[in-house]
Amino acid sequence: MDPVSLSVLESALAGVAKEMSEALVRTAYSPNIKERRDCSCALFDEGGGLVAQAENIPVHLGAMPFSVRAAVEAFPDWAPGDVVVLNDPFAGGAHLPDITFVAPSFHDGQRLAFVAARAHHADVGGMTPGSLPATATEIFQEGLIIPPVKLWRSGALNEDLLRLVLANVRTPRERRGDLQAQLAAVNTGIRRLEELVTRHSAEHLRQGFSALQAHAERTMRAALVQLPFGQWEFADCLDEGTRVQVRLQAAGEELTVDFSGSSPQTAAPVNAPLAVTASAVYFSLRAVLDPCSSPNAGAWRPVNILAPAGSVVNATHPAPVSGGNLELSQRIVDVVLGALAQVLPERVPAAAQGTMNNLTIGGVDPRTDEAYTFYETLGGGCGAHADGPGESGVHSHMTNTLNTPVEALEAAYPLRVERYELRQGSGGRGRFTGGDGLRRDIRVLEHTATVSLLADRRQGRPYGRAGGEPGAPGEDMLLIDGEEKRLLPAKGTVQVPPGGTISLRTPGGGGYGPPTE
Amino acid sequence: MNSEPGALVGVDVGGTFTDLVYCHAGTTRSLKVPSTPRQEEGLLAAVDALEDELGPRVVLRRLVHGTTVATNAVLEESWAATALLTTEGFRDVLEIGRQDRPSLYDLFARRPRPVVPRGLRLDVPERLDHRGRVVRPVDEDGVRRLARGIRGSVESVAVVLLFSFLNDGHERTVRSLLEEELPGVPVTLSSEVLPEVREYERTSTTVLSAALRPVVAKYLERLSAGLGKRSRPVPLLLMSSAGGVLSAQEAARSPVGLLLSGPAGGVEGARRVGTAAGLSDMITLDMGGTSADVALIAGGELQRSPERTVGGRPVRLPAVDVHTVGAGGGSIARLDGGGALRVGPQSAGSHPGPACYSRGGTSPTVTDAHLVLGRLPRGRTLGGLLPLNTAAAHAAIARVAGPVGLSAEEAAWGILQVVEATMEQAIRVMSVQRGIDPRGFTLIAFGGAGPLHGAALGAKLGMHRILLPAHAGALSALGLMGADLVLPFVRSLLLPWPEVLPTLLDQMVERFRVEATRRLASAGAEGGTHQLFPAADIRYRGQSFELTVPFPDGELCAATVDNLARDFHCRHERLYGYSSPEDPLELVGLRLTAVAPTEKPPLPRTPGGGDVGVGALPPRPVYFGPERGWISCPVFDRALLPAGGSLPSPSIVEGNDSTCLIPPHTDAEVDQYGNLLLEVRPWTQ
Repeated sequence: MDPVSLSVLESALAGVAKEMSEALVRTAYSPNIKERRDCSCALFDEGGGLVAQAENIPVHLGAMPFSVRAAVEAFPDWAPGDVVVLNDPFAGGAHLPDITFVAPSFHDGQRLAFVAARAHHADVGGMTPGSLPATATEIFQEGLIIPPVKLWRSGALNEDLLRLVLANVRTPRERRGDLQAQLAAVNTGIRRLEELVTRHSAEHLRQGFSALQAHAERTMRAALVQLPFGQWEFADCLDEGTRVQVRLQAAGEELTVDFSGSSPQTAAPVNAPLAVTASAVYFSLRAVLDPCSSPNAGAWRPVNILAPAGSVVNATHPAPVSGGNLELSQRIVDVVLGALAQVLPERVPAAAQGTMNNLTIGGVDPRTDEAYTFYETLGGGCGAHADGPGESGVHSHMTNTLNTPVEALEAAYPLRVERYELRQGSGGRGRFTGGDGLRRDIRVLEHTATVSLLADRRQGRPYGRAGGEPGAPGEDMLLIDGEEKRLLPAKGTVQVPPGGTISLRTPGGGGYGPPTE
Repeated sequence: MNSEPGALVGVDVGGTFTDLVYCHAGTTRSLKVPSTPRQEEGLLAAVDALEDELGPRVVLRRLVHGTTVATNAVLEESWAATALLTTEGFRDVLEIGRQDRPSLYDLFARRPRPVVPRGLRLDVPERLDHRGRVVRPVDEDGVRRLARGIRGSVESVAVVLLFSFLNDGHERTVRSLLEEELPGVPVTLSSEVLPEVREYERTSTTVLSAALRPVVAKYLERLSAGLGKRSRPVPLLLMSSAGGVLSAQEAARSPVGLLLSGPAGGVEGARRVGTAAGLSDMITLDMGGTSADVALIAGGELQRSPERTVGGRPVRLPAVDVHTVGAGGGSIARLDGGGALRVGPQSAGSHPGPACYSRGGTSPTVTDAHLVLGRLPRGRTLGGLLPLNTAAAHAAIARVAGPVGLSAEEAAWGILQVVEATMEQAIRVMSVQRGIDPRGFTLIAFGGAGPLHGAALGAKLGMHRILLPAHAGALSALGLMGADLVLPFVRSLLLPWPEVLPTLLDQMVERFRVEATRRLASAGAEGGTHQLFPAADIRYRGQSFELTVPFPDGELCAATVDNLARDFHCRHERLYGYSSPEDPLELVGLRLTAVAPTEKPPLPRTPGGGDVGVGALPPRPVYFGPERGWISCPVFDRALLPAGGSLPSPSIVEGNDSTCLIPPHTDAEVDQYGNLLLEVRPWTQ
């Protein structure tokens, strides 16, 4: 396909994915999707190869193709109006709160493409509100598992199935609204593809899909061939000792990313299904090589990921996985970047905070006697790099969701934020200093609250680079009357009495270059 | 003749030219002078030029100014040294922002530097709760100590305390202490700039306002001094981001309202022209040298968004909703590593500019592509500025054509297709992505490059009617001249619905009314002519976004509150596809827009009669794509076209400000104002 048609079609297809995503955000019910935009949409060719995507957070980047593949494997027959829904991490999902819709687009009775919409639902049942239980030992405790099922067949909703799903979640009305929004998103994609067919012909689109993938593949190969032949290894751990080990092997236009030597999967919710590992690898490569503005299936053809089944980076049933998406994904980025730094030292920063600091607070609001659940993630320090210091108090790598404004939080929940500031001096020292972590103190007012934390880098420290020092580890305290009473577990649940304050201090980023320079 | 005494004037300061439009004795005219590094000098020169035309004795009744002084200060970070006093424990809110990073994949991306460095961000011991009740009173001695610590080192102070939108008592206390300790230093309160929930956005907006106060005040002083030298006083008004005008006094007090003054003038001008042509639903495309601005006008009304960013910093004040993409005449074309043709967002700007400007630019640009394809006058001048060098344009285009084996015209045509794909997406962002079908709208294309792309874009989007305005270069100044006085008010309340009583709404609206009347009067509005548009921000409890629901100005009763709830559910249904009438509601806040309509000077008319042939210039070949190839096109001088004349298709119309392209299968007519009205005939492919 000529360079002009390629560029014009890419713009149009990226527009389709973006319009799906806007439809999803616009019609969603829950704040997590509507305000924090924890959702992504994408477009695939008839065989399930990614063509274009609008991802709002990077952890969805490489994971959506797994959903389409699982849907196609589960259902050989498709009709217009079919919509497959899934969240099973071992069949196309990532972790249970992420529910994905997959729907086909037809032209003249022939399948032309697939569209998919993924959104993080605020609750899908399981042991704790928010469905991110830090103490789960099996996936069954993490919530309702939805294998690929047709929730709509030829446009007809399977009401029974929907009732079953809604009966298993804590906030069914909100879930129904968000599922409806996902339907609106896939329908938007299908309608827009039909418009493009009218304008360009189905044949032109089919050719375009493969031409765009070939273009992305050429671009990625051109970037990879710049790497010298060689192998680079790196390893890092979660606080409990779960190890992620990687060996990059560059051979001309191809790259192998081998995770052999990583820990076996564990009975804690930090395991990553392969889809999450792939996302983290693709994020790292894209960030460092920046090979093209819109990667699709073609970009990843020259990249071979080897992740032993049953290991923490390719977990198998029934491992718990809620934090694989949130915490292990960050460590996978840390090791891939650490290995890349050996060959591209100027293009890789020191480690960022390496966690999302997932905080869930639940209880009964004494003002209304109604149950509430509050979930947020906290930013921290970013790594310093060859050009300057790391950013302070921001999300890094696999997530980029917004904080909850203090004034909105206090109006909605029986909580008071007593302090929200940068942790001065927590960034690693260096020629350029790592970014500082955050401190957020939240007081529980006039009731007892259940507080769950799923965080990391409380013992291990984000690494420095080129002689820079590591960032300070995070630290979480329970304060009573302003006194530091005890350390909170980084992965666990505690009861906090009325007037008690939890004080979260997130990790700083690593420094870059020797501090004395 | 009942001509009004004196002249109405609009002045828009652009990067290259300062445009002035005036209406005197029922006639509207425009003039142009070069812009100067100090904006007021160009403006005063334009006023001098006006006096040369009208004579020194003519009275300037009203001068409306669109200025980029505030915007430039933010982009260049050349603001005043400013301190921020904030609730203890929250001094870093300004730096943390919403904890998101600006680019998902760029590990080196920086967030904008905080306007106030940490050393000047000071903790005030005090606290209010979520109902505005005092948890901890202000430590007055503590505030005095803080004030003494910064004495002499700051020119301006911002005060942002948590929940001050519910209770401004603590902020006022802090201000009076500061005024005693730091005499002469202006103090800006968040409860005055933006009494609205969400501390980061309020802090960012308040801090910017404080940091700009000394900058804008000095500018306005210099300007007033210059205007004051004239024999008669000139009432000065400034264009605000919201698409209305402010008095100089208002602007100096809250300069953050000027930040998007520039694009607002253009959209307002397009609206004026479109409305005069009988249109109410319009999408405007202002395509200049480096970027294209798209805005939507529905039912004749400018669309405003509650928040915009300027230089990466949120400004939460109503602003004309404009979407900008990096697509302009100077946008540079290149082949990427995978062999696809890319255009923009890098731009050759006006220096060095496109290769055909012969100012040292060698990169192929959109303007070079137009020249190669015969759309721009070869070897002649563009907008009276400089002759275009066709050979240089060809050489530049060859740089992208050669490596992929395309001919010059194929490559140039390709560049236009790619840049139009970018603009098409921008128009879709403003329409389709907001649930609006653009096909019922008229596309108004202006700016130096807009009229070359209007028809093609209209066809691609199914927008069959396209208007290419007359006087495209002076559109902003035209918008300024007739803009209404507009004052937006907002106040967050965060009340559960059962507490929303008619008396409370009444009180709030009354407070706004008193304030609006006073401020409009001081801006020169005649008493009693203004209209008030109250509205409520409502949401379902537990949601984090709200919808603005208007209600009538007048006696409020229980039915008003019920109607508001009903309207909210309907609006929610319409926008988001569902509503939940049984769910509890929350009143997030109240808004009110006060509008004092001003006289709308007539648009200049184009004489009718005669044939378009009077404007005929020598025809030239123009390229219309691989299927149609080169077609010999009639060319017309826009200034000579009579109203009512029909133009052949295809043809080219050359004006002072821009060149218009009428492609094949397009009907075109000159209207009574000299606008070209295009109608794309449905495709028969």
